[in-house]
Amino acid sequence: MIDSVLFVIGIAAVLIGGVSGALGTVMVLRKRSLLGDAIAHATLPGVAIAYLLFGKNPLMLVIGASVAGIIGVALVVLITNTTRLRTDVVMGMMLAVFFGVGMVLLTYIQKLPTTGQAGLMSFVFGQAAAVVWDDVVLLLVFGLPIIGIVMLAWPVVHAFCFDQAWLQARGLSGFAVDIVVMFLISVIVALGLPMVGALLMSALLIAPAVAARQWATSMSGMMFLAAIIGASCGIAGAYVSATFERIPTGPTIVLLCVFIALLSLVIAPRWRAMVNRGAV
Amino acid sequence: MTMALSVRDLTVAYGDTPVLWDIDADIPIGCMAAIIGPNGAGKSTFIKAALELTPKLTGEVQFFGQPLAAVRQQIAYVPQRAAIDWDFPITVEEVAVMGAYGQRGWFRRPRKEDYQRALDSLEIVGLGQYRTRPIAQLSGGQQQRTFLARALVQQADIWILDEPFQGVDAETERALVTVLHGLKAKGKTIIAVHHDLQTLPRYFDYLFAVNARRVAEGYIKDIRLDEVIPQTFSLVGVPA
Repeated sequence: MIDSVLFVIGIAAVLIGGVSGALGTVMVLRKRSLLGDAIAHATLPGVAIAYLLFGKNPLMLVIGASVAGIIGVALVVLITNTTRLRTDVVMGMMLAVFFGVGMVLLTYIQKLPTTGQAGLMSFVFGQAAAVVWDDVVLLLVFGLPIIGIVMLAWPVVHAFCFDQAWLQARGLSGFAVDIVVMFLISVIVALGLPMVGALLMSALLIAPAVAARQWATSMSGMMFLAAIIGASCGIAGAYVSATFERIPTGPTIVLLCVFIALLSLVIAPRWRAMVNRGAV
Repeated sequence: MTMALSVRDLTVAYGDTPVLWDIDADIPIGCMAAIIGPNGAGKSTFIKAALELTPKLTGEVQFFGQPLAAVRQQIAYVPQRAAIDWDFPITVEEVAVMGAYGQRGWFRRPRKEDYQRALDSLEIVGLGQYRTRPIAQLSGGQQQRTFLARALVQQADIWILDEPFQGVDAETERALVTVLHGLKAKGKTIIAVHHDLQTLPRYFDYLFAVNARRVAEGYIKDIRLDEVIPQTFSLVGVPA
């Protein structure tokens, strides 16, 4: 018999890992890897404010997180465009400021007498046990369509990643595509928070894509492989942390992803060399 | 008379630094135009501003007498090779077929006939046998020919190329020129940023000389190159 709690966690982990892997491919190929980190840190104040306004309603927490993530990115873009500061400087600052504000608010909430606040801190570090059926429903409703959107708009996504100037010359604003991509990343980061946590969500976006990059010869192949790696690590990590006591979920998932990325970095070039020699 | 590209009073600045100043241009249909000028003269900027890739301070740009938005489908743009991540996981054929992206709407994937067109285009530029190669394994010249194949798939009427001969081998240069002359023979308009003054009169029949301002423009046969070229390359920046 399948443990129903484990079943819920497993499905959530597969969905989060899969969608993150796919979107992470876009970020890695666009050389915007730090962006996921900035968004993830920026979501925390949103979670706290949504909690203060609406209580522990999973949908409202996710919406709060997404909105805050988008505001964070918008501020980064705004400051970069209106000052002489470089993007990495602004992102580095933004991510600290938002995280700081988020931690202050979360600490404040925990000290409220009324709070059944158990679990809010899991938005920082992630906790599989905190994942409930409602989270899975949210993932199915808001997370899975992200894959659909990427597949539907494939020519745009493909050209956007490869050659933005050309896409722009064809009449599509690279800026607009950028905004949509950042919005989608904000959504999946927000959905992944309860399980993986704000601190490690960016690694779940990047590591599967980095691993897949070592093997893939096409972007679609890379995206597919990254989704598979993300989903597999998600379910494996969830299972490990649910089976053994005191092993946290988010970090386990992320460590598995990073392990596969490192393994791929070492093995893939040798594998290619062997194929080229005709040994395989 | 309708021009392939006509520009009025174009001024472009990066921050406080003006790059192009009061530029007028009238490039006729069916010519092969070279844009020449020293480094930093605003050649690439001119192209980018015309294609609205760079914001302009003032000025009006028309292609075939219409605004850019109305004629985009007829314009093929070949960016500078350096602007691309050549380590990107993509094959030669995939780059070429990208030329068909957006032609029937941006949510349509390329069809079988698009792949056929891509293959035909790759044959034309001499890369037929490299179809399945990742672009990372190509030489600089082969990369440039891949770009040209993508533009061919687009079946455009105006071709705008940013330094197409930059860093390519002699074989590629010959192949590119042959393809471009073939297009011109079919009545297409070619506009290219060009560096090599030796080959200028052989490859091109129209000249647009720029150095922040327009220095000279016209059919090369009507221009005294021995006067225009020193003039173009001796002016310094924008007069205050």
